[in-house]
Amino acid sequence: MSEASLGQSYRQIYRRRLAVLSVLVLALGLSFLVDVATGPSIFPLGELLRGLVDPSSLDQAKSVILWDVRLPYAIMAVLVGAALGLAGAEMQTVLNNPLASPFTLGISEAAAFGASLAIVFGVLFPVAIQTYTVPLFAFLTAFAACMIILALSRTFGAGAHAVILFGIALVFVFKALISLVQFVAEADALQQIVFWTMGSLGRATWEQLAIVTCVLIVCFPFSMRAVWMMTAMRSGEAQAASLGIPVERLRLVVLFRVSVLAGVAVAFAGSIGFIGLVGPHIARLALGEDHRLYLPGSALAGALILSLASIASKALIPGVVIPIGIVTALVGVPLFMTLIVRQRHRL
Amino acid sequence: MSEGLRIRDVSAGYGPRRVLHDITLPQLQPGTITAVVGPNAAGKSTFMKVLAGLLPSGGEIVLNGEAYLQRSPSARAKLVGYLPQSIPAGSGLLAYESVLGAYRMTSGSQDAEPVERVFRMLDLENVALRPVSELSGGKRQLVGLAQVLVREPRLLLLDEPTSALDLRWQIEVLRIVREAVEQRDAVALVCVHDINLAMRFCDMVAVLSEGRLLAAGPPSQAITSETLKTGWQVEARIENCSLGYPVVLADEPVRGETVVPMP
Repeated sequence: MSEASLGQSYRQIYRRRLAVLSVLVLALGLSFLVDVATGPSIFPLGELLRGLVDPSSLDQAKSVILWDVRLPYAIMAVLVGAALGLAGAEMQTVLNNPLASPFTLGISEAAAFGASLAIVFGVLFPVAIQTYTVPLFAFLTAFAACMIILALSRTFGAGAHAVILFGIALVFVFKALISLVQFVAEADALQQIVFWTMGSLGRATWEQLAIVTCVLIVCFPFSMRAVWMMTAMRSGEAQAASLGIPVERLRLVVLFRVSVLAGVAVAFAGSIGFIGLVGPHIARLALGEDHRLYLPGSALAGALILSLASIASKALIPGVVIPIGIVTALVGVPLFMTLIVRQRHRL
Repeated sequence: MSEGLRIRDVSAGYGPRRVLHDITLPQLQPGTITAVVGPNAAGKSTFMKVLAGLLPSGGEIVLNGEAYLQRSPSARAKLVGYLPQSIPAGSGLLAYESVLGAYRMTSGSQDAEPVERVFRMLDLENVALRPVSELSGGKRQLVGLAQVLVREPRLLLLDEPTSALDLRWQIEVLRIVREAVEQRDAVALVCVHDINLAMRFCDMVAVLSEGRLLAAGPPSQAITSETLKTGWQVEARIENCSLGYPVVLADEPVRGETVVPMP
């Protein structure tokens, strides 16, 4: 290989990966439109696009269906998928664990516990802040779970397999705590908690969408600022530290970000599994591990999977919307097991 | 100004466990390679981590008149290149990306030429665009070395850079390291298990045993039958080969005395 061709060849690979990233964007746009168009009543494409540009072109009923039901639902699928995909990718890098994700390490379950606490004891807070107490509690418990995982890994010098086992233990602990909260909850609160445990986009509101959007807008640039440090982390902790990267601080900052992303996603959409695991793996296969492309790719892949799952949740049983957490779990478990088999040499 | 590396009374450990005890070496001159040798668990890797600033330590460590460990980690990374003992096998980064990342992190430069040059130097061009996880242990080790060399550090700390390499590349690596230190008046410390390699290709040898310095100096002074007996617990002879270089010939483990247990 000649002197010039090595750099040129790499730039070709990089351009090809950029093209794949663009295809992901297009696929997500298409999936989003299909998600909005499908449901108990189908929007023809022309009518849908007209309704999006000019809401007054639709009759009152269709306008309500499009703007108050379909759009919040479809946008929430994209945002929550992106948040979970990004969170999973960052976790896998800083914990050097291909099986790490908010769901597999109990972070989502912890957030669901925080959310259920906020629901049950929400009456204690002023009405004006009650919309924010659920995501805030979800974030706090998710962050606490991240810190527990980190502390256990450090204390016992745990390898990848042990971290997953700690995560499974946390899932059981938080499941038990959620059951305890359910046990003492009033009937109304109990119904809401059950919604969280199944994972559903059905209650998405524009206000919630604004909160998730803000979180993504704040978190994503911070993630992208650290892409070179995160890329260097893939060469091992010792190598990263010798490059001047404050490994411990980076890990703490990233886990804080993961807690915010997972907390807000779980607070509004419930416990949706496997997106944070599968999204990054798809991105890794398609785009490699250069984090300049891997991080946005993971967010896009997560968004695309959840958007497709949203379509599937409406299409599997005509007239019925299955909670999306059930769909992602049914698709995610075989994928998760495939990953374990493929990654067994690293565990 | 290049004065080399001064190491005096260096002690370090992990928590309450002290691993290194008052290590003092003769001044390591610019443009030289010093081999750090010793039996298993002698503290060689800990010593390298201390010099790389990855482990807190006591004592005096001064490079070209500056206590560089006082610098911020990112400023220190511009001076010191450290190759850890093991390179993770699971990285999905392309070899080229892993070296490019190391270069960008320390130089901030967009120039790709130094990256390409180091791949040529280590004859890695054919594997440059393959994921690190698909490379053999030897090639991975060379990619790790490329990550160090591309930064053109003034202090090279290489922890067993030849352990996975064949005979030719063990020699090639030490030749390339010599070129690098001579060109930039840098100092290199290299942990190796092969004492003959150390004696043949390094300017100085430091022998560690149980966290203490057993001997240090030019190879023929540092490696003696007595050092080998005390440090490695082996009866050995040192003879000259046909080219006049000293060669260690190990005969048998020392009998009737406490043998340092293998970890």
